[in-house]
Amino acid sequence: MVQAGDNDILDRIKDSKLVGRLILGIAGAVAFILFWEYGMDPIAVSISGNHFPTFSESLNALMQSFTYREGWNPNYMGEHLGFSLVRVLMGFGLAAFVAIPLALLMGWMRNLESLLFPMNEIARPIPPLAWIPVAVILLSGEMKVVFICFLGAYFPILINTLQGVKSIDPLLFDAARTLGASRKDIFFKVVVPASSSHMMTGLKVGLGVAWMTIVAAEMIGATNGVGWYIYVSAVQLGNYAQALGGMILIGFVGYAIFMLMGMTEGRFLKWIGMR
Amino acid sequence: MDRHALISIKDLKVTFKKGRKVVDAIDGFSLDVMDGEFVCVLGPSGCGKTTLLRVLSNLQEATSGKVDVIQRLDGDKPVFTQVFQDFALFPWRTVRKNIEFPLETRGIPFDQREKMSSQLIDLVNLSGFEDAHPKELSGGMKQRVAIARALATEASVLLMDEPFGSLDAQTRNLMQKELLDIWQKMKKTIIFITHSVDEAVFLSDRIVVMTSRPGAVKKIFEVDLPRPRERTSKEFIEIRGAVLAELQAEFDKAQAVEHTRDKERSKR
Repeated sequence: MVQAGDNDILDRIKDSKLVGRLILGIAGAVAFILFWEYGMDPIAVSISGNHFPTFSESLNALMQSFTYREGWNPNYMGEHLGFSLVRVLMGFGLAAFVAIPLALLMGWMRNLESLLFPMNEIARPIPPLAWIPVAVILLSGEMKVVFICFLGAYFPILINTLQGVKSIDPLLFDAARTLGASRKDIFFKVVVPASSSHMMTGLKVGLGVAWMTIVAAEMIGATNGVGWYIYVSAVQLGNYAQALGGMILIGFVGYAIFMLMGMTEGRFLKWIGMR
Repeated sequence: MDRHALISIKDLKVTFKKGRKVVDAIDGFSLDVMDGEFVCVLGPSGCGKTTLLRVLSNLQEATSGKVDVIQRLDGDKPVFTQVFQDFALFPWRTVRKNIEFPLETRGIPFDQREKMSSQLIDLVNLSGFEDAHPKELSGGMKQRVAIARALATEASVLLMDEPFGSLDAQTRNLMQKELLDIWQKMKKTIIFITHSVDEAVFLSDRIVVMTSRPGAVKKIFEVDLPRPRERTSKEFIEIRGAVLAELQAEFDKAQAVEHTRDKERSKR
C-alpha cells in the first residue's frame, strides 16, 4: 500500500510541469539518437559517398578511450579530460581576474570606457581560433593553450559585467551620496554588489565559451587533452568515430559545467543578497 | 520656543542647459529654516521643488546664490540627508544592513552599528523584519527603512522628496503620524516636498508655496495649530482652503504659460 505522505509527493510531482518537460526532453534526445544511428549514414552516403559513424560506433569509441590504450599518451581519457579542464579553468580564471575589475572600472569611469570600449568591441567578434598566430608568436607551451581559452572567457565576462554596472539605477548612487558614501564606498558598496547578478551571468557564459574553445586551443600548443584528442583523431588518424565520441564528451562536460555554474551562481547571489 | 535659523538659503538660482536652450529651474529662491522646524514645500509640477532639494543635498550644483548653514552642532555629522519618493533602498541589503549603510560609511565599529540600527528599527516599528530584503516589504515599510537609514546619518536636516507620494491613502496617513512622532523624538529639522495640501497642513510648522517655473517663494503660511491635528477641524479646513487658493492661482498661471507655448508651437 502507498501511504498518504507518499501520495502527496507523487501528486506534487504529477502536478508539476517538471515531469512533462523531462519526458519531452528525453523523447527529443532519443529521437535525435535514433536519427543519428539510422539516418545519418545513408544521408552521408547519398550526398558524399562517405560513411558517417553511427551513434553506437561513436559511443563505443568514447567508452574505449576510458580504458587503457596502448600507444596513447596519456593512456586514459580521464587524464586528457583533466588536462583540458585545468587549461580551461586557468584561462577562465585569468579572464575573470582581468575582465571583472576592468569592466567595473570602465562602467564607473566614463573616460576609461571611452578609451577602451571601441577597441574591445572590435576585438570581440574575432573568433578565438583566429588568434592562434598571436598565441604562437607571443607565447610558448601551455600558455598558448591557456591564452585561447582566456579569449573565449574574457569578452562575455567583460561585456556582461559592464552591462551590469551601466544598468544600476542612478537613484542608488544619489541615495549613497546623501548617506555620506565616498567614491570608494560607492564603488565597493554599490557598484560591486549591484552588478553582481550580471557579473555571474558573464562568468557562466564565459566559462562555457572557454570550454568551447578547447579544440582550437589544444590544436596548437598541446600534446594531450580532449581537444587534442578530437583534432588528432579526425585530422591525423581519420578515425571519425573517435572524434565524434570526443564531441559527445565535450558536450556532456560542458553541460555539467553549466549546471555547476548555475548552482554556484544561485549560492553566490543569495550570499550577496540579490536573491 | 526660542528658535534660531539653522539654514539660510539666499537668492538661489539653478539653470539647466537643454541642448541650446537654457532653462531656469529656480530663480531668486530665499528661505530661512529654523532649527527643529518642519517645513513643507508646495508648488505646481516642474517648479523646481526637487531641484531645490538636490541642491541642498549636494546632488546638484547651484548656478548662483548660496546655502548657509548657520549653526553646526556636530562637526563630523552631515547637515543634510535625503529620503526619496521611490525609497532608493539597496535591494541586496537586508533592512538592518540598509540602515547600517551610513553607519558603515561613517566608520562606526561593528558592535556599535548593530546597537544603533536596532534602536532605529524599533523607532520605525520594523522589529521582526531586520533580516528581510526590500522586495519582501510593502511600500510603507520600505519608506520606514529609508527614513531609519536617513536618521542613521545623524544629519540635522532631513530632506524629504514626496516620500509618501507612492503610498495608498491609509498608509500615507499612518506614515504622516509616525513621521511626526519621529520628528518630535529625534528633534530633527525637516524640509518636506509634497503635492498634497492636506498633507502639508497636517504636518508642517510652515508651508512654503512656490511660484511656477522658475521657482521662487510665493507665499509662506504659518500653521499654528496644536498637534495632533484634526483634519476636520474648522481651522484646519480654513488654512487648507487658503493654501489651496494660493496654489491654484500659481497652477493656473503655469497652465496659461504652457497654453501660449503650445499655441506658438502650433503656429510655426
